[in-house]
Amino acid sequence: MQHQSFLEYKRYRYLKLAVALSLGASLAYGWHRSYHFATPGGQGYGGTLMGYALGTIGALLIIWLMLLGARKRSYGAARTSVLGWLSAHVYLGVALLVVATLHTGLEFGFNLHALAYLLVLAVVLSGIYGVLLFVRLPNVITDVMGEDSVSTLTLQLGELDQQARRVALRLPDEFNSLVVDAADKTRLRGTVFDHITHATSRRCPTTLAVRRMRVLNQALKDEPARLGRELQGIMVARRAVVERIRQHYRLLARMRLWLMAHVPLSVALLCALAAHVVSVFIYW
Amino acid sequence: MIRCKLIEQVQADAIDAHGRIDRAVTGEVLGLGRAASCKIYLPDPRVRLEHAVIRRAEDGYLYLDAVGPVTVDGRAQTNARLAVGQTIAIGPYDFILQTLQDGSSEAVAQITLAYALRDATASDEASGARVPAGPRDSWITRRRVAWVLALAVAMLCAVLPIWHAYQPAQAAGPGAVSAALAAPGAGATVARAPAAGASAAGAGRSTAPEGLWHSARTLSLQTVDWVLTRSTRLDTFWNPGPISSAHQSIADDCRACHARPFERVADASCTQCHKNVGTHVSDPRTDRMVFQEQRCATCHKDHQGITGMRTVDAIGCVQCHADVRRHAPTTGLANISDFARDHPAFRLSVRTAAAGAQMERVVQTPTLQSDPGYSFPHDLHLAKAGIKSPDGPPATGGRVVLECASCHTLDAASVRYEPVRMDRHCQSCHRLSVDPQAPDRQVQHGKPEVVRTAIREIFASLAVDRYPVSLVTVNTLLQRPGADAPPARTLGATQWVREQTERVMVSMFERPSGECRTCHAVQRAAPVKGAPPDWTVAPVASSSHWLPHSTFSHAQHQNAACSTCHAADQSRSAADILLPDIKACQSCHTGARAEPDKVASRCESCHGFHGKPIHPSFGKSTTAATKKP
Repeated sequence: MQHQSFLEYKRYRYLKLAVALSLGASLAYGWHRSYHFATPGGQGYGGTLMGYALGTIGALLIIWLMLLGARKRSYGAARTSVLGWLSAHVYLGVALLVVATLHTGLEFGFNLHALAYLLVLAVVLSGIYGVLLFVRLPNVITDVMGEDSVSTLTLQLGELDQQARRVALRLPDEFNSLVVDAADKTRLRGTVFDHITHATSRRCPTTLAVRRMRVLNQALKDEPARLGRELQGIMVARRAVVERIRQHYRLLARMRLWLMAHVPLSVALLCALAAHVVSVFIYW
Repeated sequence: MIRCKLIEQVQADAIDAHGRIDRAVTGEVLGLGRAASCKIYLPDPRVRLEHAVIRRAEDGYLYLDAVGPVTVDGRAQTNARLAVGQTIAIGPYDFILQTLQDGSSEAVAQITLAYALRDATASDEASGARVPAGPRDSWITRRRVAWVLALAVAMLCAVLPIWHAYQPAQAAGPGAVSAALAAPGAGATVARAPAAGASAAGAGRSTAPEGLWHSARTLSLQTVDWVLTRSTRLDTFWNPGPISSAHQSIADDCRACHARPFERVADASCTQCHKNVGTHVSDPRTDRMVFQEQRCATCHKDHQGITGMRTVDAIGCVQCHADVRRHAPTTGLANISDFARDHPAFRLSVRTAAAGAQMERVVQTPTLQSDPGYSFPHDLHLAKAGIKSPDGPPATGGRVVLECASCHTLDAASVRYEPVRMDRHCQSCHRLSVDPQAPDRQVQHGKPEVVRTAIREIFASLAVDRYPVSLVTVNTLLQRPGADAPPARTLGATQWVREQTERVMVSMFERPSGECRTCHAVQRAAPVKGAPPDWTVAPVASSSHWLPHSTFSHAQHQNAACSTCHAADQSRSAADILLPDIKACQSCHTGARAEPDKVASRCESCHGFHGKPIHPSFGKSTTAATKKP
């Protein structure tokens, strides 16, 4: 079976659905604004019949879009594919932006209702950013990693460390300690934030070793000098491998970080939506 | 063509024949890698699919082109010419180039590569443990952030405002939280200082240890109180739009209008303040029947901006009036959906002879007349050549040219015109002089008895001049109170005054072009024995407002000349109704939909919804008879 992106799922079935929904809502809104159900002062807002209709559609959309989180976790549900859900989630999420904007009637203020809309905006925009990441980053990761994987790169690191230890045996102590530090203390693990903020490469012993060896090598002569250069070459290679692993993890971290915004904001949106609905009807 | 002999050393350190496996591969190029297509197959995860290639260049020598990391004699290289004795390291494999026959003289280049796995434990299980895990979550997890955000939103946008919404109106002030939360369990002895934290904290320190929890609780409640009373009410955060200007004073008190949660704003909330709003249909019962489903807020929606409450919905009018009988079966109104399309002809409030003192609404026709009870030819007064006047300049033969504004002046509100008054607008020409001997003395415009008194006074004063000897000054102090003056002494003067008065009265009231009958219809009343003759003047019954249901303002039409709408200069009779008909209005005004060169006009451009009196200057009873002289 040919690989199918979630964007192209079933020949853009959900893109078509989303476009139809957005167009339908826009046309209905235009008709509503121009003639029917005009409100006092000609202002459109969520409290007209059309406003209630668009609001209901928007609220149902939000609830359904949130259900993706539950669907992803229920592995037993085989009747629908997660890929299809994701495709619909993406396209209908963008359509939600249209529906929600029309629901506001472009009336904003310092209030809960505008806050709810802002949350919709933030969630959908973060979602679009996430889609862009999912489209772009896999290619970037392939560019960075090529045919290697983290495990092969780790094996390469181990190999380089062995070589380095072997060579360093015949060199002054400082070389040895640099090699041991680089092997033991080079930081590859870290939290999402550590990777994003380059905290893992701060004061990296491998980089330090490369830099220090360049200085130390200048004091060596003859055979040790050759070995020193060889060792430095090994450390440069080590640094390149380390940087590739880090870059790989940084890209992975970026793919997780946007979810740190998308998911909590959407939960907050659900609360704001509930408050919005309650507030509208408590002071009807 | 390259022929390569590969010698694999099974045991890393044994270079004897037992541990050797020889095989030979041949090809134009020799690929090294993990791919099955590679001639030199290197099954190890650290090696790429096609890691490197040994090729024969045009000069016949062998070269190594590397894609993945390759070190030749300890140096990372991507391209190297092969030479005997080189150690080529690819992943875990070290190749030692033992023999080499190449160069342009050789038909087939031959090399021998001895290699060994540097570490035999290149399996994934052993090294897998050392593979660092990917990015992991910090203490800031999605779940925690979601909880914090959701709780913040829920507290600020839902819980606290809802708490506000359900508080009794009076209790929502200072001390409310303490009252609401502390009252059930805290007991009666909780010291509740009116001020905030400091004093309560002092009290907390002085109490016994078992009272500590009590004090802390009191303190925290008072802190919450302090915050809440000094912040605006949180349910105002629900306010969906700007409150109208008139409601600004109650803008922070949602429940001033939203009296009960989950119920729509009831009319009772509006009529609390707006007590004197007229009904749409004058009969209250019909009004209730027609509008049983409607609320004030059906049309007047707040939270729609400063002017939101005032801007009502003309389309709402049409929803009923396009088919008005469906909503009010007994109405006499015609259907109307748009001013330009189907607005019926105006119905004027006219006093007709048949109706007597009552006003009647009559459909305006070109021939419709309304007798006001006096005669006034507009054409004569507006003649271009002017009209004769006692004050007229001699150069024009005593003629003055009058304009509309000579008699009609706008009222204070600049909406309608003041009534024309005899004394202000007519009397400068139509003088009510009595006698040529006193040309400047005029009687006032009024009923016959008033006129008679005025005439008597004029002639009495003239008598003083004419018959001074006949008038005997009587010292009233010498007379008995109540006694008449001796009649014989004043008979001559009295007689004269009475005769002159009656003569002038008859002349004024009965002469066909005399002072009164120029305008009014006058009839002599039935004679009463012993009394002087009396007259009745036909009542003046002009309408002060032809269209009391409209809000027409003259001030807004000041750019047009009067004659644009009112054909007064061709009117010969006061009975002519000089009001323009609806066609004249429609020449400038169109319906709700804009048209080029026309003013878009909706229902509310001319009509109000509530009750009849539209403008204060129209007075209380615009349809009642005017009793102006």
